[in-house]
Amino acid sequence: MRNTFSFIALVAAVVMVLLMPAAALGSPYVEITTTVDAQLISITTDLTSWDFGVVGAGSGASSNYITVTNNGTVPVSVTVRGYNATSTGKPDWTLIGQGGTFGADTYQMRFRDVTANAILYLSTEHQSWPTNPTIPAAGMRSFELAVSLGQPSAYGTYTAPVFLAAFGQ
Amino acid sequence: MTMWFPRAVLVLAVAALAIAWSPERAQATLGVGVTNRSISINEELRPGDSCKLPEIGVANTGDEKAAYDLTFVNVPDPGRLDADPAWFIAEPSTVIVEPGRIKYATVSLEVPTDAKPGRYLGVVQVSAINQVPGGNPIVLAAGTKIFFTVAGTARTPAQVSGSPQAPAKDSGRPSTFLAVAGAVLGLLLLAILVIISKNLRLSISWGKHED
Repeated sequence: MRNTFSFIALVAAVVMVLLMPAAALGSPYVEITTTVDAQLISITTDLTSWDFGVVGAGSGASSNYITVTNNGTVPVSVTVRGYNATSTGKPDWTLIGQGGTFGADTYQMRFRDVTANAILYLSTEHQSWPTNPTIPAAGMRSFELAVSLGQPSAYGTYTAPVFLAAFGQ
Repeated sequence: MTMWFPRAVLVLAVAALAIAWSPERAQATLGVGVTNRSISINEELRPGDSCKLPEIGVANTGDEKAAYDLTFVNVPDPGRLDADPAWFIAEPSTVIVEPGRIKYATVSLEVPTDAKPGRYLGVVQVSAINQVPGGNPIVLAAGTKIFFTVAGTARTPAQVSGSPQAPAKDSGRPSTFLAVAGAVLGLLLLAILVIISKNLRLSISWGKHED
C-alpha cells in the first residue's frame, strides 16, 4: 500500500515536472485586439456556369448575361479574373488581356458592366475597372460576358472558368 | 513542302469546323458570403510575430449545398503594402455549407522575420465553385479585408520574456521566465515528495517487492 502511494506520488511529481514548463509556454501567438466590421459580404448569381455553344474559329460569340445580386448588408464592388482555357489532351488556349495579340490558341474575354457600359478585358489576375461598379445592398447589376477566339490548332471542348469576387465598400 | 501540307490542311479543316465551349447551363443559384467586411489588428505586430484572428463565418447564400475554399489574395490598395498570402493560414481551408447556413473558420497570421515595416492589407477570399459537370464554372468569391501594421524591429528577448519593458500585448507570447519557474517549482515538489517518503520510511521499487 505504501509502495503504491509512493509510486503514484513519484509519477505525479515527474509528470508535473514535465508538464509545467509546457503549460507555462502557453500559446505561441501574441495577444491582439481587433476591430471587426461585422457586415455580411455576399453575392449570388443567376448563372452557375456559362457556355457559348459552338464558336467559329477566329470569330466572336453570342453573349452570356450574368446578373450579380448583392444579398449582403453593405455595398460591394466586384472584381473579375479569367483563366486559360483547357481541354483534355489538347493545348491550352491562352487568355489574352486588353491589347493582346491574337495568335494560335488564344482567346479574349470581355466583361461589360451593362449599366455603365464599361468593358473590362479579363486576364489571369484580378482585374478592376478604373471605377469599380458598386452594387448596393439588396441591389443587383447585370454584366455581359463575350468571347473572341484566335485560330485553333486542335478541335475540342474547352473549359474556362470566370471568377467573380466581391469586396465590401 | 510535304511538312507544310498537313499543317495547312489541319488549319483549314479546323477553321471550317468550330470550337465547342461546353453545352451545359445550370439553373441553380450559387451564392457566397463572409460574415466580416474587415478585421483590423489594433496593435502593431513585429517581424516574427504570430497571432490568431477572430473567426470568419462562411455563409452559403445560394440554394444548393456547396464547398467553399478559403484562400488569401492581394487586392491593390495604394496606401498599403500587399501582405504575402503565405503569411496566412486558414483552418479548415475548405468548408462544406448547406444552403442558408454558416460555418466558421479560424485564420492565423504569421509575420516573417524579414517582413518590411509598414501598413498592410491582406484578403481572405472565400470562393465557391460550381460543380456542374461539363460547364464552364462561374466561380464566386467574397472577401474579408485584414488590416494590420508591422513595426520595424523584431521583439527583443526582454520583451519576449515578459519583463516590465514588454508592452501589455506581449502577454500571450511564450515566456522563458514562466517555463523556468515552472520547471523549478516542479523539481521542488519532487524533492519535497522524496523527503516526505524518506521520513515516512516508504520504499520505492520498480520490481517485485518482498516485505
